[in-house]
Amino acid sequence: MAQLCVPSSLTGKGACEGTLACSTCHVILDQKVYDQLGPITDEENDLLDLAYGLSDTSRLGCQVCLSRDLEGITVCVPDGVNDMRSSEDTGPKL
Amino acid sequence: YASSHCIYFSGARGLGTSPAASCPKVCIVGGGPAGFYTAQHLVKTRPDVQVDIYERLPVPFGLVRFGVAPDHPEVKNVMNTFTQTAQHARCSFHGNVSVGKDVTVQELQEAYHAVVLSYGAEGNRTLGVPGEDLAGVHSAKDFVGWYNGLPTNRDLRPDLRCETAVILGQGNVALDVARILLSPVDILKNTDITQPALDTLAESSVRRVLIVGRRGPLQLACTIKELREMVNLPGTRPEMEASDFECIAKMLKVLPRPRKRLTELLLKVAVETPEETELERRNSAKRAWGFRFFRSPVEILPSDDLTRAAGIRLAVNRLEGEGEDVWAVTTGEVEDVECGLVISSIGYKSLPIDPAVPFDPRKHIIPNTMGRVQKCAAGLYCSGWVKRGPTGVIATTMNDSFDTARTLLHDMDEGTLDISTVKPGSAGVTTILEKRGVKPVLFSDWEKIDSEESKRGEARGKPREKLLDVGEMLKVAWT
Repeated sequence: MAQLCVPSSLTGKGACEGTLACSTCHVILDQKVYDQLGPITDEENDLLDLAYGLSDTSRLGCQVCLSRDLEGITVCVPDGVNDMRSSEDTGPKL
Repeated sequence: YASSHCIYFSGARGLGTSPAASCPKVCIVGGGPAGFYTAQHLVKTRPDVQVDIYERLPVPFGLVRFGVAPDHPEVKNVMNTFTQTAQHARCSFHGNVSVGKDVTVQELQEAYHAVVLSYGAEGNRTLGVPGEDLAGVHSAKDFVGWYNGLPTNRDLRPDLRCETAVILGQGNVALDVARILLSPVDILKNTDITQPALDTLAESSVRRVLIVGRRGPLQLACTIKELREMVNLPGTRPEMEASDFECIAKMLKVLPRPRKRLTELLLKVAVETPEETELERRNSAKRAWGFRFFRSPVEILPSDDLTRAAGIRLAVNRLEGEGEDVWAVTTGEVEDVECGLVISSIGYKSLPIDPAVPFDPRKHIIPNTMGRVQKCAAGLYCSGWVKRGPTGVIATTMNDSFDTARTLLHDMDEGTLDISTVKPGSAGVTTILEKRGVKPVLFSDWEKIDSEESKRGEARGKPREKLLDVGEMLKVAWT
């Protein structure tokens, strides 16, 4: 799914090119679609932990295989992609 | 004069379209992620803007090349996006140009409509304790620079003939250092780690790495991916103080998901009795690592001959405050730990580049509002770590750079930034550099370095064998 995002106007998605090294391809799915998909690995969950706007039906787009069954689904792309590893403040408090 | 200098060739890949003489011209100082992402957003959004990136080293990509750990090659995939940007018709890369020395920021402001400072953080926070200058004590910035081939750190020669290494700080950089110190050489030998570093690590006596933080487990600064990598590191076992984790388990249910999962993994590793296979694996592991909490460095203790580090004195802390806002307070107790290597991983730090650029000496960043530099004339912007402080991952910098680009574009649209005058752009800078005997490295020149490194790496089963010396880089670049 992330491969669809990369060349499109959705700049900044898929920064690591689908190798489980970022969370910029974070997508939010309908509950029904989410339930259809396979189990989430620890590795994917570790990166989802850092995704902006994490929901109960979030997945990393690069880990979702598109198939005929998924034709017609709606995928929501969150507004920001700010990884939780960024901090609000600018470095150490003085 | 101006129009004849508006024809740009993007290397061997064909002619660039020739922008109008009066096209807006932006100069970016720094060829790392911030510089490239700012450039990318600018050229993608306005069809008339020309962007030139200046970089001090002959090679581009900044910390993606020199900071990201060798065993995290996927994180470096962003270089492909940066390469596309550099090869864009309206973008050009100029390496081997030191802004502040070879050309001033004022001269850049005369040549360009806008200058974006994206030069990152090349310094580091110091501990400020006695013994910090002893042999055997290094900043994580230098240690990472050493194993990643940063020319300035080529002669670091860290002495790894000791059993215990203490790392101060518990962020992802600290964990990278621990992992590189303890990884089996068989894993490292197929990465782009430099050969001298690989050889040194192959001879290393380091068997135990302590990763020290002044607060507690709930304030652990690293993220779960990196913790999991340590837990799964072949040939190693975790060794932690169970007493550090009293009262932690009962906090789990109120923690937000990321902190909860991190703490669950930490508790599992530090406190739970492992099942049989794991127990066997731990018992046969020859190397150990662990977090030490509630400890702050007080002094680095010298060897008998006073030349090198032989231990570290740590103050024992307790916590005050509640919830998110907790701080360490010393109890008066101290503890000495024997060690021969101390790596301080307490943060990078930006430095001022040019007297013409305002700099906040307390926060060590360029004062700005959404990327527009304050306390100076229009036309100066900043992005990345020099704007926000040296934290966050590449994606953080990406968003930040897009924000600065948006601010700059907004200023162009609103007329706050005057783009009606004709500016010479890189042609003007080239003239200045020629007079000063400075020759830029173009992106096509970097591609020769890239090709040479890949070739040398192939011979050794590595993705690349980095050139370690600026002179050698220039020789290859200008062949």
